[in-house]
Order: sequence, then structure tokens, then C-alpha cells
Amino acid sequence: MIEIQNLSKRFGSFQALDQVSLTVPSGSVYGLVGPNGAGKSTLIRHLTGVYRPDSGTIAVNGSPVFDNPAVKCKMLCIYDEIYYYMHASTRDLKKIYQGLYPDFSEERYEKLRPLFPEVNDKAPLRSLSKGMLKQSAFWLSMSCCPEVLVLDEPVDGLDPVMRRQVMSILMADVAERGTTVLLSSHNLRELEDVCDHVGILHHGKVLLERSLSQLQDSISKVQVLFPDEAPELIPGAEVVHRSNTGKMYTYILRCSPEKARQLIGYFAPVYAECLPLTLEEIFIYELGGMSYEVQDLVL
Amino acid sequence: MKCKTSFFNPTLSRNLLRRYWPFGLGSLILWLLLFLTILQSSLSGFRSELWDNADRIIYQMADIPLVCFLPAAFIGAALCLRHLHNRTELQFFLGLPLKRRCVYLTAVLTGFFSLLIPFFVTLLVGAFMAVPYGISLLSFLALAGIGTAQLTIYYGMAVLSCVLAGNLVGSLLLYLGAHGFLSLMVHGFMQLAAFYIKGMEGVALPAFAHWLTPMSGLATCIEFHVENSVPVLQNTTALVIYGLVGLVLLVLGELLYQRRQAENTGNTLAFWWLHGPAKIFGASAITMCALMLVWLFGSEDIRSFPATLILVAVFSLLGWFAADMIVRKTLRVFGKRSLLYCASFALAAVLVLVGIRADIPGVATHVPSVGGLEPEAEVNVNFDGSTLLPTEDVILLHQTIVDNLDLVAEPSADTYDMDRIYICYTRTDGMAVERGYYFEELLNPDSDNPVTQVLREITGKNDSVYPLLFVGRDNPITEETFISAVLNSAQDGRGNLYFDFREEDNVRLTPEQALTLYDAILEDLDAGRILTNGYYGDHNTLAEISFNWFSYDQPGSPTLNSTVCVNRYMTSTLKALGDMGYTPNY
Repeated sequence: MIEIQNLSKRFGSFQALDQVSLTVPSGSVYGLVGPNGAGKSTLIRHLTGVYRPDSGTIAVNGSPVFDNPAVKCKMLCIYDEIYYYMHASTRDLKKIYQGLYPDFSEERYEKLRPLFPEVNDKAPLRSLSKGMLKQSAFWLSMSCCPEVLVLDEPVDGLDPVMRRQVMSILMADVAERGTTVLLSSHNLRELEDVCDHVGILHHGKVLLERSLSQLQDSISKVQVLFPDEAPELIPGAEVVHRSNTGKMYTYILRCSPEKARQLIGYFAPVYAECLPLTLEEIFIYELGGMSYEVQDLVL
Repeated sequence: MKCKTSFFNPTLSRNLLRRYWPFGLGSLILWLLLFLTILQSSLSGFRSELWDNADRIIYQMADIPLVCFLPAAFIGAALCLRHLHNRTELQFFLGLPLKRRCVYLTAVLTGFFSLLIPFFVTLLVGAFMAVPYGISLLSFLALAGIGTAQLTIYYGMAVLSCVLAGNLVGSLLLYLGAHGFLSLMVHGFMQLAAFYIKGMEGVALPAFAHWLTPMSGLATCIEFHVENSVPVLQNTTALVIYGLVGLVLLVLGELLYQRRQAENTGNTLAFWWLHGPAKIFGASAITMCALMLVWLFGSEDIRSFPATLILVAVFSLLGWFAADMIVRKTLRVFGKRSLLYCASFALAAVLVLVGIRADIPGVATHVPSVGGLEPEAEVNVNFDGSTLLPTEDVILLHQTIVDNLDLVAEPSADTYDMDRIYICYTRTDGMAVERGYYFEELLNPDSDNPVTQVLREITGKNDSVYPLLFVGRDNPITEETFISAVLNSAQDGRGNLYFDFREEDNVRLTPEQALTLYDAILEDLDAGRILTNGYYGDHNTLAEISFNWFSYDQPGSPTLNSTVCVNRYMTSTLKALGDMGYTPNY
């Protein structure tokens, strides 16, 4: 489990993180969302022990992270900007990882090889494209069998096929080994299929942090055809949004889908159906009267 | 399998070595080429009948690591701590499952031994080359120890510079500043003081500036003399201290590495508390450099006080802005606060110059007291003939000069034809206190110059003039002990007597002539007409007489030699020369 409590960090006069608190349960996939400059990468660097916080605590399985090799040897991070010795090959880096990460598995390394066919592990890294570098990073990181995996913009640079491939490897690891994963992204769509917890970071603060099931249970989208005039309000639930195309009305209600069906049922509609909400829609309607910038994030 | 949490990580070290192997190999090749070439050249020129010890060849080569390790230490440190100056690289290293201390020590130790091992390998090869010449292995071991101490201090400074700076340029500036800032500033202040304060001209850099500049201090440490046919270093203690200071700097580097904020990588300086001092030191260095350059290449008028004041004001303004730009890595440094700091700095610089001009510390009139000084002090007249005299006598002389400062020439005057007196006290802590004064005329024994009278009194009282010839009278020149005497005239018009031995000037004196002149010189000495055995200046020196004689009248006894500078005040000697037909033309 990753626990971040009241984390604050200032760079000069700029408050990068302001009393950030979040919890990533063990074995879960946590999506950290935010626009550019929200503080996602800064938070990740605190998590990996690169930055020292001004205040607050960061702990993995109860142990502080900063300058703690016992924690860091079970944690790997793939950054947005990857650093490698450019003259080295993937195989050379494998030797470094083998020497530094006690759980590195040669067997797993070879097992993952067919999943990254485009990466020649003997070729110098400087000869690889951005996407292939990222694949190499995934290959090496997964071979270390980490308990915690932190990914900053994980699929940026990967082609759609490789994105799916990488995500499926990730999910398999979560399922088999209970790996805890924290993904950061500014794109809700790519997180939708994999995350079971989501947090929004904006201007260094956590605006919202929920599990996906909690979010889905808290808001519903119902398409209704009423025999008569459609009601403005639905008693028993807050109407977050109401729109119509002819006589077909769409309501966004702040309640669970079961309750939404029940409440709509009182009006004896001709037709009523609960539709699935995308993560984007959930956030748009959940956050309500937020700033324009966050709306930009979720659209 | 346990995480690697010891202070040294072999995987990381191997990786660094593999990454930077060209540096290590290049280092080895350069060492072998340079050191062995010089060694071979020295060995082939060695003649055992001229030198009493061949080991001195090795000791003389201690200059090579002194110079070579200076840039090499910085390059080694910059390569091994490169991750401190690149954000993505730092992110990688600090994200590794290693303690920060482990990352630091691994990088630093790898770099240190990468620099040291090529040097040791070279010495080993050199030792094999030198065996046929009878050079002992101990001298190579000594050189290895000297080189290690030199490298340790240089490397410690380089590592600390890399840790304190956020990028390579910052590291280099800090490293160069650490080596040269103090010398530059002290030298500059000494130049200013010499030009504006009487008594400060010709004074050497104070000892603390010498020792706090590692290269010059180390150069002193590696001087040696031969004792019982064994070369002995002048100052082994100081060398060891330098090495220990290097270790302390490495430890300090580790402490600061732990506290270093990763977000400052890429900035010139990695610690906020360095910004102020860096700007002050940087601006001071730029101001002083600019001023010294203008003084060096400008006319004499540029050294006048009003002109220098304006130069200092302008250079300090520009220097501050330049330093601010370098520290903040931006050209936009003209905000209100910056302007305020800049103006304050310029004002301070101007006030310092005014303070020097006004001699606020009272340097010109300060005479040290006997307490805290060694029992003997040095007096040197006209750049030659240093004499050790009791400190009380020298203080008396010094006080007399200070009481008659109006007789001392202005520092800005043309001193070519003037007499110079230099005083040097040695404090009990080993530091020297020096003063140098110029007089229109100092050595005329008949003048009413109070300084001359005191000089005459103290030199005569202590028999410090020509002690070999006359003091104690133990080895007089007699008919039995006389060997030869040569009169060298200065009448050819060339100013430099000591190296002017044109045949027509060198007159061999007969024994009778030599003994007559010997008695005449003694007469002048006893009459107090010779105040120093130093050079009397071109305007006063007329001739030289060189005497050679046996120390006592037994066959095979050692020979002695002394040269007397004949000046215009030695009336008895001049009369004797005139009687021989040698009339000075002045």
C-alpha cells in the first residue's frame, strides 16, 4: 500500500504540491489524473525518493520511501523522460538491474522477450526510437518483479498494439502477483480500462480521490421517454444534468443506477434505460462547477 | 536476496568504469608518455660524479603530478558525479535502491582510484627503468605518497565543487575559484596597497594566501634538500595536512550530497545559501581581474586615485550584474532588488578602495612589537645582501622609518635610481611581516638622514657587513693565504655589474695591491662608511673587488671567496685605487 499524507512541496515561490493526501491500496491500479503542471510528475518523484518533501510523509507498506533501499528495491518507476546510458544496450542495462534489484528474474526476462519483438536487446539504446525505448523500459522493469510499479505517462510513445500489449502484461501482473500500480496521465480515456482507483490532481491539490466502483455508484445516466411532459426535477435525487433530443430525455442523476431506475419508475415512463458513463462523463458531472481548466482535462 | 545497501556498490562502480573507460585509458597513456619520457631524459643526463644522490631525480619529478592532477581531478569528479548535473540522470540514480551515501561513495571512490591507478602503474614502470641507475624504490614510494596527497586535496575540492553546483559550468567556476580566488584578491589588494601605502611595495604575498592556494602551497611542500645523501622534503607535515583536508572535503561533500535538493539540478548552484556569497565572490573576482588588467596594460595615469575610483565603481557594477547573471542563469537581473544589491556592492568596493588609500588599518605606521616575533629579523638593502639582525635593532630601524615617512618616496614615484630597504620579521607562528621602503638616498654615511644613522649603528654594531672578510678576523687575507683578486670596473656604462665580466674590465691585482685594498676597505668599514654588503645601485656603485684566499695558511686548506661592492662613500678604498692608477669616472 502506498500512503501519502499531507505532502507539500514548494519550488521557490511556486507551490507545486499542497497538502496532498492519497492512498493506493495494495494490488490496485491507481490512476493519477491531472492537466499539465498539476504536479503529477512531482508527486511521482517524491514517491520514488528523488525529491525530499517540505512536509508530509510518503510510505510504502508502512515504511518511508526517502533514502530507503529496502523499500526502493521492490519498487520501480518508468518516467516520462527515460534516462539510459545511450551507449549501453538493453542487455547491458539488464546486468545493472540484476545487480541492483534482488528480485530480478532472468527467467521472466526471457519469458517477456517474445512480447517485445521490435526491441533488439543487443542494439545500443541510442539507436532505438522513443516507443522502443519505452518498450525496453517496460521489459526491464517487469523483469524486476516489483511489488510497486509507478508509471508516468506509461503509454506515451507506444503504438496502439503495443499499448494494449503493455497494459495486458501489467494487468496480468496485478492479477497474478498483486502488484500495486500507480499510473499518471492527463488522458482519462487511457486509464478507463485499467484503473480501479482514480485521483485528480489540480494545481498541486487533490480534487477528488475515489475508487471506480464508488464513482460509478454515485452517478447515473438515464435515458427516458415520458408519456407526458418531462419533469424538471426527480424527487429523491439531484439532477446534475438534463438534456433532450425531441421527446427522448437524458438525465444525469447523483445517485446509484438502481435508485435512478426506481425513481424514474415513479413517473411510469414509456421507455427508460440506464446507460454506462465513461470516466470522462463521471468526472465532468461529479466535479460540477469546477474551473475551465479542469473541464479541459476531462473533455 | 538482500538489497545492496553497503557503502560501495560494485555494480554501479563497474558501470561507471565501463562507461568512462576512455578517460582511464587516456590517463594511463598520458602518464606513461609524459612521466617516463621525462624520467628517461633525466636518467640519461645523470652523472654520478656531479650529484651525490640519484634519488633526487625522482623527487624533482613531484612537479608532474602537482600540475597534471589539477585538471585531471576535476575531469574525474565531473564524470563520476555527472548525474548531479542532469535531471533525468539524477532521477535515475536517486531512484535506484541504494542509499544516497552509497551512490556518492561509489562514484567518488571509483573516480579517485581511476585517477590514482594509472599514476601508480606509471611509477611502477618507472621504478623498473630506474633500478640500473641505483635509484631506490623508497623514492618512488615517496613520490607515490606525494602524488596521492596532491590528488586527494585536488579531488576533494573538485568533488565538493560538483556537489555544490547544479551544472558543469557552476562546478568549474567553483573549482577554479577555490584554487585562485584568494590569491587573486590578495594579490590585487597588495598591488593597490603597494601603490597607495608607503612600505607596501615589493612585499610578498602573505603566507596564509600562499598556503590557502593549494597549488602554491603544495609546490612549497615538495621542495627538498639532501641530508646524509638522502632527499628530505621541506615540509612533510604540510603535505599530510593537505591530504587530510582533501579527505575532510570529501566527507563534507557526502554530507551536502545527502542534503542536496534534486530540483536544483541544472541551476548554477545547488544550494540557495550559496547564492549570496557566490555573487559577492564572483563580483569581487571580476572587479579585481578587470582592474588589474587595466592597470597592467594602461598608462601610469590610470593608476591615479580618481581614475582607479571610477574604474572600481564601474567594474563592480558590471561585475555584480555578471555574477548575478551567471548565478541565476538569466540575463534579466535588473530588478529593483538586484539594483539595490548592485549599488551596495559597488559602494562597498569604493569604500574599500578609499580605506586602502587612506590607510585606515594604519599599515604604514604600524611597527610590530617584539612579543610574538622570532629573535632575529631580516634587513635587505637594494635587493641583495640580506642580513639577519636582532629583532630589537630592526624594530628600531623600522620605527625610525615610520617616524620619518616624509623621507620615504611615494609608491607611485620612479624608484629606479633609489635605494630600497626591505624588512622582514618572522612571527613565532611562522608567518612573515614584511615592509619595503624607497629613499632618494639611504647609504650615504655622511647624510643627516636619521634612517641612515640608525642603519649605520645597527649594522656596525653587529658586524653584519662582509662578515666573511672582516668579522671575527679568523680568516684574514695575508701574504700566506692570498690566492688572487680581481677588480671589475663598472665604467663600461652597463648597469648590471654582477654578470659583466668582459675581459678588459677584469684586472688581476697583485698581492700587494690586493692587501692594500683589503686594509683600505677595513678602514672604511671601521669608519662606518659601509652600511651594507648589498648592491648600492647603479648610481652609487663604481667597481667590484673579488678576493680568493685560503682559510688558513696550510697546504690543502679550503678556499674562500668574497666580493666587495665599491661605492662612492668608501673614501679610503677610492684613495687606494687612485694611488694604483684606477680613477673612477663619476
